[in-house]
Amino acid sequence: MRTIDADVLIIGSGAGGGVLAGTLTELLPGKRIVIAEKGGYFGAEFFNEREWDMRVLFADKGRRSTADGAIPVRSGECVGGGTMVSVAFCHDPIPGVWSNWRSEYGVEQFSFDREQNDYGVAHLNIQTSLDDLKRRLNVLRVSDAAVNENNRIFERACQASGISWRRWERNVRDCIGCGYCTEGCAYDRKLGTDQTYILDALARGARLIHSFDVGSITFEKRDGALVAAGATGRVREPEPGSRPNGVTPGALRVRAKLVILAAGAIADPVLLLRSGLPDPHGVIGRGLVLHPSLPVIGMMDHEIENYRGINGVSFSDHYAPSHGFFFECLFGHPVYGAATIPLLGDDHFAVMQNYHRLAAFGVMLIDSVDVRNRVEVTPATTRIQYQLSDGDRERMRFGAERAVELMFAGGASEVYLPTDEVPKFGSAADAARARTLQFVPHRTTLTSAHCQATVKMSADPRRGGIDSRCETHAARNLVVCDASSFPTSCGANPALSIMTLARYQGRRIAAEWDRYAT
Amino acid sequence: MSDDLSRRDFLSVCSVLAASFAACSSTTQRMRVASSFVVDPALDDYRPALHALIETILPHQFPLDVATVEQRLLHMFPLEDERRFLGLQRTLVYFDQLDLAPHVAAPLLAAERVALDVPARISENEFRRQSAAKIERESRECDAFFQRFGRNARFAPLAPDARLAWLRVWGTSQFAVKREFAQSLRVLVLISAYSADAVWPAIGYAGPLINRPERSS
Repeated sequence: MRTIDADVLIIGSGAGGGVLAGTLTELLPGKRIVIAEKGGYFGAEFFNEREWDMRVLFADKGRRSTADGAIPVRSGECVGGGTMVSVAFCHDPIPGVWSNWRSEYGVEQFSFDREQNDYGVAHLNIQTSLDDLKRRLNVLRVSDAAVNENNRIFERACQASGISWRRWERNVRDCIGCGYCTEGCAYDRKLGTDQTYILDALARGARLIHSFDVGSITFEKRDGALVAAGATGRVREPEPGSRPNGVTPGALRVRAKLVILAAGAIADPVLLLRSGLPDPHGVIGRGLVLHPSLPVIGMMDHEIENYRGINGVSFSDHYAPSHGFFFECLFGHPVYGAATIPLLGDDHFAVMQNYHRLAAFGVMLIDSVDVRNRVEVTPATTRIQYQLSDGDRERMRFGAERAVELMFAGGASEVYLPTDEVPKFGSAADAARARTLQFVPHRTTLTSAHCQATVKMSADPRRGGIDSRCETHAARNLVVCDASSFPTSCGANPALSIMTLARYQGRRIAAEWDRYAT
Repeated sequence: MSDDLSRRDFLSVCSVLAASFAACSSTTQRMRVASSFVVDPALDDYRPALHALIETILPHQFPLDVATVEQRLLHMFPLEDERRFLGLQRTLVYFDQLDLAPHVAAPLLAAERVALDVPARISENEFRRQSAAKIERESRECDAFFQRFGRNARFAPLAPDARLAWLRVWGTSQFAVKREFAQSLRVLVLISAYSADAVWPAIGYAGPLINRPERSS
């Protein structure tokens, strides 16, 4: 088998892997860094702002879902990963959540005090790592002039209802407001890892192998201990439209002193379990959270700017402390829109014909950890087993009712939810009908784009697969560093929390390289 | 968005649905005959049902005619060429055989078991109890449909209101696999229809800012 020798193999090039690649090439000059990415390498020249065509940017070409088929589980699968298809929402890591991880899961370090020197490394802490990121990614608050009408309707509705709201910070530079963030930025204005840390890493000599299906992490026994030694897999012919690959198709082995897994919260546990990593306590893949989300659509009495402009600017975490959900303003294009709007035949088309009059936002639930929600790996299958717990269902019901009221407060004459349980609401007083929602799979459509927490950090191997260094309990020289690593939901849209974790761990790994050098 | 779909799991489970039907084949001559359609359906066996479903899901007046949407659908989801779509073909045939719907066989229950995550979430006993109640209720729903619309044999010849009602019987079924079929067909048709540039003027959508051709169709 063809073999490439490296110092570090990073599997995944998204929010976790991309930042790690940039950081390690910066802080460990001369080390041989290989980045393995399962998806293709697509750039601005490829993106045509068409929803169906751009499914190639997503895991399983957008077909991945929970085992019952009910909740699509969306992840970017291309160079840049989720940062390529995100709407560039940046939410700072939430100190209370990390503090909870400390007390509940025995997670250590991760100081939020910028004077702290975690692991004895000068100024290594969450704040300085976040500062680095915000500089590199140009994370700035959206200006008032850039807010489109759909977002203003949401803001006015919140204002009128006494609900606090804010505008996002976003990782963009000179955004033109085309409205196609989730189809890949055709203008190179969104600063995902593909535009920043990966480019930095390549400029410093890292090697990127895309269209690379890593099948297995390889292990060796050294002094009686299990040690990761690299990975094997197969390089595919790149998808049409992808940039060329540096490695021709076929089987490939990469040998490395340190293997960093950052392939996302679904692929990480699959790869670990398929590779035979010991999991004596059955924790790997368990306790998955998805941030299930419910779109809410309102019919306005006039045309509004909805799909053009920055389609996500405003959000509300008003109910986050009490009920654990966000309202997030967003608008989609007609393929997504048609699937989201309930009803059939003439009734459905009557809404679609007024596409330019629709307002929309979503309820995003911070779901609680239930160990029965899991990525289940058997020799024959991989299944994402997920169901809303009773408590989460109740919170989602409350959120749906408030959301319907909010849409009416914004001026809607009718409100729709993506369900045939209660598809249509005629007035704010009608909102109480949302209390009857059962969120029956395939009758109500929930979506997910934030899978997390499948290889949890915990000092206790019975509660998580990795420790606070993100090193696996079961094998040395193997780090899992992305959304998987969170013990619970990170409490908000996860991109910036993942990148902060990656920047932090990248700095730590560079300072502690001797741990892995032998 | 495209990833609102869940094709892979949907299709794999749909094969189970088809198998469930095949498992009944010994009970009556009629079902034995019908099972041959399900086990290996030819294009002609499911096209009328697919055509009728597109007519039902789209409005009476749509910017694209049904044949064009059907052509797009078969191009975007190559039912004939890709093995993973075999389950969809079979289920379409099953969906089309109205009188078979009340029959619930063991493999359908096996699919339900996956959907409900037995035994991680509910015990075998509870699952059996629930299933018995569901089968009974499913049967009542079908009877209500037949009483209202008559005992028609196939979906395509039904009047528009009966087609809608039949799609709703599936969409609100007690069994996840049948609900999934109804919801997925809806989404499949809507994707095929609303990804077409020709539809956009009718809904006031200006389309991409960037002028690059469609790749898929």
